[in-house]
Amino acid sequence: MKSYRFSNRDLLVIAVLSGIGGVMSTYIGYLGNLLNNLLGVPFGAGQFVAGLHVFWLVLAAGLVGRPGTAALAGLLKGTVELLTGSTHGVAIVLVSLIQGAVLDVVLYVVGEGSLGYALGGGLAAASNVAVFQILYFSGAPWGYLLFISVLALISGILFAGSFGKGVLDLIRVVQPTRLAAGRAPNKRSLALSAVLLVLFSAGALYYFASVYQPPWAGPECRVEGAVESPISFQLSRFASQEKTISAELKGQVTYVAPQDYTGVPIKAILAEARPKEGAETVRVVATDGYEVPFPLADVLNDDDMILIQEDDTLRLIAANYAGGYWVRQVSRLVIE
Amino acid sequence: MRRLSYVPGSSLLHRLHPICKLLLLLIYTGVVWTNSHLPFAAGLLGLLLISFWAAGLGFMGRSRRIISFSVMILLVQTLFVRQGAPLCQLNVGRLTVAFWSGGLAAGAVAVLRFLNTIGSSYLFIATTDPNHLAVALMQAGLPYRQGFMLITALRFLPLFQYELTQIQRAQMAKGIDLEGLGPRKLAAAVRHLLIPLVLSALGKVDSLAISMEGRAFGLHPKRTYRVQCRFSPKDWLILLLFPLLLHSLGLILS
Amino acid sequence: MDPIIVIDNLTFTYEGASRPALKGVDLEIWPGEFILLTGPSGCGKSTLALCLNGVIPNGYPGSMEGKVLIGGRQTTSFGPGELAGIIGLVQQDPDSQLCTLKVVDEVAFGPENLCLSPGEINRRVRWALGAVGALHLWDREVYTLSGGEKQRVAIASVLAMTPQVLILDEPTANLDPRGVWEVIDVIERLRREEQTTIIVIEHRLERILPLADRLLVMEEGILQEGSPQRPPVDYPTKPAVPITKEPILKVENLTAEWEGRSLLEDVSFAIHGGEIIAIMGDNGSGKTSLLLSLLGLIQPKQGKITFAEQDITHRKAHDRARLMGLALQNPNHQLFSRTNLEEAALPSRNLRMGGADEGEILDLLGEFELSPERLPFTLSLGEKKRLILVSLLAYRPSVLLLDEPLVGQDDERIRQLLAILYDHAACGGVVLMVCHEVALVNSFDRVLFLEEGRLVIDAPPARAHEQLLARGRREYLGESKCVD
Repeated sequence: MKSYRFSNRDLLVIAVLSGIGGVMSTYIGYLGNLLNNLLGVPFGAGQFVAGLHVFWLVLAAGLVGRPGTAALAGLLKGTVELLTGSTHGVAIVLVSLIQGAVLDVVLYVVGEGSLGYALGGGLAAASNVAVFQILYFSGAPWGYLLFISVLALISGILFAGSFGKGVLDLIRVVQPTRLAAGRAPNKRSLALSAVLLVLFSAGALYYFASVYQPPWAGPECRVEGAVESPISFQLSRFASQEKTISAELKGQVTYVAPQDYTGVPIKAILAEARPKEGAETVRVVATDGYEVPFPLADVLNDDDMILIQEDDTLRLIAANYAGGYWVRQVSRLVIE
Repeated sequence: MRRLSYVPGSSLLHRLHPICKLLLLLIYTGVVWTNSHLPFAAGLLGLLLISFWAAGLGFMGRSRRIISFSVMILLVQTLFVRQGAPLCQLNVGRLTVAFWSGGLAAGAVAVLRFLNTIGSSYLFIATTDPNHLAVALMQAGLPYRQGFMLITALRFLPLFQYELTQIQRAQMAKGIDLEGLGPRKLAAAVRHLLIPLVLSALGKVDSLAISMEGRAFGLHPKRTYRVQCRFSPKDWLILLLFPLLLHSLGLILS
Repeated sequence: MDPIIVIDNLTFTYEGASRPALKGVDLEIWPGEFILLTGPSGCGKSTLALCLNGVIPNGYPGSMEGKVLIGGRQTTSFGPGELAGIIGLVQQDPDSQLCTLKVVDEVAFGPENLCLSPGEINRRVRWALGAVGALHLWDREVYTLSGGEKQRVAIASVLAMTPQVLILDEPTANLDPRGVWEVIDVIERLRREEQTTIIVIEHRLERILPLADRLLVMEEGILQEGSPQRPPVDYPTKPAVPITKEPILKVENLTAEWEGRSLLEDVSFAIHGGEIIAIMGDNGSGKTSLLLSLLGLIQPKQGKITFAEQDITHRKAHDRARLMGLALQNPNHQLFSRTNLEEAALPSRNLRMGGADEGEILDLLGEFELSPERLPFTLSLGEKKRLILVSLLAYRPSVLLLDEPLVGQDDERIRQLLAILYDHAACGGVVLMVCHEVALVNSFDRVLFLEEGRLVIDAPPARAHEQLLARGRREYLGESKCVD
């Protein structure tokens, strides 16, 4: 028999724990809903049981004691949930796999101990918020996401980390020699740790550099389509051309009395991108796909149409137009 | 009781090779997750509903949780995305809640994405025998020791389910009151439920390992199979046509 | 001809254990022999089996002295898994040794791992299932099988490896009387029709002993050629106690379902104070369901349950638990606390007027030789069952509902348990006990026999005996004794 990375017994421990984890997830889901109902909120409070999903992965990692265990258990548990009709479909496989991977990385870096389990369990539990945010809750504000992430984190620390560690200790007492000899964590080489750390930081760097928009840098916007030089810019680039206008928002229901707005005129931005001959329209497009068309000629002559920064997003102030044209979260200006 | 959601049948979808179906699912989900065009998402849902009908499946269960999650997505998006034309405004005490057309559109896109994701997954699992899936994956190159983890996990589901019920009954017989949900009670309930379940399950690992190794599990790096699952021309054809179908649907609806 | 197995002065001590599990074992087994190995639980029988298939010392930590030779070669010289085609082991628990979803896949599992061709795999599956008379189970899902069927499939799955030696380690320990008969039938058939060397580890000697070429007895790790003589055990008979005129517990037309499956159908009986009643029947016949629905853990679809002339059919389980104490069959599902004392006091805290009486509980624990401070999860099966019984006795419900409480207890312990149950009856209490031990049941007041959810016999033991005979249920008439 070949010697494998995971012994047959290791694999069976993972299989059995993932199986129960899959069975229990329905109940944990109900428990989450129950908590939501109890606290009278539509969602979010259920994150307080998020750690129970990670509990099984902590057990598997602790009993097998090899890097990669939690990710494997996560993948298997997610698949079991998928095959038994999870209400999240394949998304649950992804969520569960990521939870396992996060736990593995933390255990590898921090080591297997109370701290590793607590931190790993917490972060793994919180990772589900990120996945669901990307998939379904793109519009939710950061403050709210932070709140439920913290809730999930606490749950992970308590149920996965602390409770998981307690159960691991209990298993070692009950089945001292056979099952849970608790293989000492592998001696990890410095080089491997370094590689991992570099990969981790590279990922983080990439995220912060290209995906994440720090509040101080300001949001980005692109000008594209029929232009000579498509540009991607932050408002600060046009700081010298900033101007202040007074405008009044007249929507079908909303009304905001005249007030001052400071920003960059759209015509100045478009001038830099140089629209091609024959272009007729500017579409102002928001991050979520909402868009409003303007005749290009009008915009190029409109001094009262400016792009301002509001919270962390860009907003179009179109003083000569109705409220529906005041696009929020502007991400692109498309010339056609 | 939580059972496998496989619904035996003989429709075209049932008869496709499991890996063909898995690939279709992954393509479909990939398209769903990377697209936020409302008409296209609606079109995909239409495609899905036709497939449900073709596979002879009824509406999937658990509609309550699906609806509540959909409502939650819609609420979050419409409440927090303030774009487009304002539609209406509610005054709740000092709080003003406004609904914007952009929010509604974003909400609709996200809800459709959710429905498309779970709908296609359900279509996959309802028409695919998990046993065949695992065997097909192993025959396609998944190391069989890992593949059997899935089979073994599925094998034990009914047993765990039964044990869970027995544990709950034993608690009630001992007068442990599980009603009400204080934090302390919740913690105790979790402890009382999970610890016996975990210990009992791990107790099976030893004899399971002896039984499997006693039958040469892991002796050789590869193994053979009593029955071979093969890709048929139909599988290849559908696998090739499906991306084309999605692409043309996208073109028509954009 | 050379012996196929030679054991030479084998001693094995598990890591962390204070005494060796096997002490100086010498043994020679010849091809085609049928060996019966018996001995009390924990005597080292299973350890010997694991030494033969190489799991010891390859898979378990511990120290081994002496030699085990299979076909003239030491087990330590085989790579892990190489003994798989030579020694086949069938274990006790039918559930935890099956690893696939369908019967045919389970039997094909071994041959597939040996990389045989599909044709050869099919041939072996057909032969092995035929050898255990289970060809009709070919396409069944494993989880839908009865215990006896599972065990037959487990035997077939090992036979499909065409081992030279087949070891069956207490293959009937977890089965109901019907399953026991099925499995022993298979063993008889293998003995008759196949040339395999067979070692059966069993307590139920009566039917297997005539098949055996040799009887080996193991005690405290020492193996001897044995004689089948065991002194007949006499259990105390139930003293005559006054039976109340009015029934304490009355069940009328009870019908129950669980997830669309019928569990009980139109069951009616009455129980009077002072009675001890045995419940018998196959697994799945409704014994456990009956106990559960008495306590309200399964809601009846129809029928009425009366306790001391009060209708309790719709009362909550929590309320009924004050009147009726339930011990389920598998103790592992019923232990929740950190110490024996805490566990024993748990129901009293919830259910007894005035809470738990710690002094009384400590006395009870002492009487049953359970240390108050020990972690319940670390006890043996028999000890766990006693602990659960103590926790029930401590809160004094008038009805005791016990599912197989005597399995895993030695004779001395059974006497002690019976004495306590007889006391309970003498004080006007009632005991309803699932028990298949005819020697015990004969001294009870009545037998309830269930068949597919219906109560088909409700009679004193002697009459129940006749009725069972008339129904052709010989397996319930005490051909064997299954107590350690």
